[in-house]
Amino acid sequence: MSKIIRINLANNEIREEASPKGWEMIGGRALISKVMEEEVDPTCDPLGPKNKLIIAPGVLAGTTASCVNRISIGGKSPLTGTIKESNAGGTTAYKLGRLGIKALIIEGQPADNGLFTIYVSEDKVELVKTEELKEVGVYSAADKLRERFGGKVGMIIIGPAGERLYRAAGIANTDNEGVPSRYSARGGLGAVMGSKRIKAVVIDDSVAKGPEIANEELFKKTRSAMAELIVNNEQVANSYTKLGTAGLVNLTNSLGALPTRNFSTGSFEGAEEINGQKLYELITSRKGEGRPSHACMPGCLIRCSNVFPDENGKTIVSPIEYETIGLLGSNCGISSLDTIGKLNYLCNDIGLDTIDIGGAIGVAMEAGIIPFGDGEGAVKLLEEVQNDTYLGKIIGSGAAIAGEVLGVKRVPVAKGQVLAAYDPRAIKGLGVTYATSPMGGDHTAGQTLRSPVDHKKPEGQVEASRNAQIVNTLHDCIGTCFFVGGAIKGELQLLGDLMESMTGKPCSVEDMKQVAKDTLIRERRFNRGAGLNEADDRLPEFFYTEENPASGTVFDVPNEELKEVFNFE
Amino acid sequence: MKSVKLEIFAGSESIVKEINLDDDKTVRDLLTENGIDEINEYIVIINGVNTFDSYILQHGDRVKVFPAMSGG
Repeated sequence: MSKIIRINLANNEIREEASPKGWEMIGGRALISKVMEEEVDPTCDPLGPKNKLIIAPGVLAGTTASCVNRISIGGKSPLTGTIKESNAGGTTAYKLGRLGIKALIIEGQPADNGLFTIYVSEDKVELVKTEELKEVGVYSAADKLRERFGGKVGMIIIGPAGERLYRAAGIANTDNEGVPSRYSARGGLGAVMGSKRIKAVVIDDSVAKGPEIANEELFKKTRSAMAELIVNNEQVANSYTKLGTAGLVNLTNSLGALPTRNFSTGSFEGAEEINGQKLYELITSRKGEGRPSHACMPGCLIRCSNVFPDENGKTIVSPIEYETIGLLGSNCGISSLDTIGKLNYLCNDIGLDTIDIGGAIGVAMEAGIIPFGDGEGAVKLLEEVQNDTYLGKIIGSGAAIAGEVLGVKRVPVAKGQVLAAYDPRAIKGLGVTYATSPMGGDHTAGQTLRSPVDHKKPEGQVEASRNAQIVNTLHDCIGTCFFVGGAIKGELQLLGDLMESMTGKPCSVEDMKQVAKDTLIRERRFNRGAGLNEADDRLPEFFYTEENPASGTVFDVPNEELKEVFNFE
Repeated sequence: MKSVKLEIFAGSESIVKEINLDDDKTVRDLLTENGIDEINEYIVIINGVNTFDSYILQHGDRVKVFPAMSGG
């Protein structure tokens, strides 16, 4: 991949540049951190003209290997005030890779309040006026854009939430079927896109030449080796493929780590109604459009996604994921997958992060706006968001702001972002990640669930989090799905071989880890420039003082040790 | 004689067994005898605590075995 395309909304200028020399191994999150550090003032207003929105596929994008086409979208976050990279599946990275595009950098801000779509193809990049899509929901916007630009395009879209600059607004990417539900959800990047008055990026790869592969033979050999490992991996078949990520519900519930009623405990009496087995049973018995297993990216052999149907077999939403179940389900005391599916669909259509919104509804329940377990009340709250009422604006701002406004003391956020569906008192390595990651509360920044440590003890958690943060960042930089590591039984050198096949240069696991470490260091430097310091690398106080009754623990990794996470700086 | 409850969550069904143990058996022994060889590909939770293969089983332990997964 060789091109970087800049779209400046201040003067409508579109410029194409060659990728800088030495950036062969730099893609996705690594690229975002470089552009942010070199070009964006860390003190800038995240929703002002100085911030940039960067859309960057990983280095392997556009190829047909399994699990290599994740998209990274980044900028300065209006939610956390930090640098942000938000990662998703779908087809958009694949299509950008096929067009030879290493990054789209959206800069400046238009003087008026127009609304634009960026159209990208092999022949041209243009800025198209799409005023008619103002306040249009994500699903319907996708349909309208397809009518205009053709059925096979990939799309990156925001909903009304992004246009209204809600801090919990995400960015949707289309999947293999064109459904806009693969979310770069976290950190309010939808609001950054909205602040630049970009409704969508449409990617047309119909006459694309495809990515340049330096060593086809090595690529094919490695792709086959990976495919063989994945399709013969019984754990993948029994867990990810069959149950999807919802398979985690039983596991975290058994550890006392499943967020329940605004993180007041870690075990949910309704867990059996929302677990992977229940999801599988409902999908397979309802039939119709439902599919227990579904690929979110071209060529994926893990297929952990799903299509969840209603009783008549009509799609409610695709997919339902573990984090959504944890935050919009147990965290709100809701034990119906149908209700969770409906809430998930509404979030997707309005253009919201299900994790931050699940956190915000949990906080609203704690404040007594509606009781815990009130599924219909939760749907009504999302309708308030849709209708842009004052209460809706508060929920759409995410849990940190909702908690402050509603006077709630227990607000489960780190750097302003809601924690994912693992209680940090029961899985302490994730607590370390939530506290210290440059991204704020985010499980994909350093997942320690498989680390060989006793999750309830403080010992070893800093090292577990450090290793996980490096490996997770590695995946975010080369564009691989984080699940591939387990699926290929930890044979990460295969990813190095894929990198070599693309760049023509040998690439070891250590080389890839170095890119990840450099990225983390740059991100932390950006955050320090933005005014964050060691005091921001903490969890909310209640996690240190209120015992999680299900795990019988508080978060007790010493602050002194938290300083050691980035000891490679 | 020790007795433990074993639950293996694999795919859409779970296997539940009460197992009597004669002597000091480890988690690894228990899993191998129940058809699981690649222990590193599983997460074992005993009485709510994630536990490793050399742990010696105690009477009354509730052993839950999950394919190792990590997120969503």
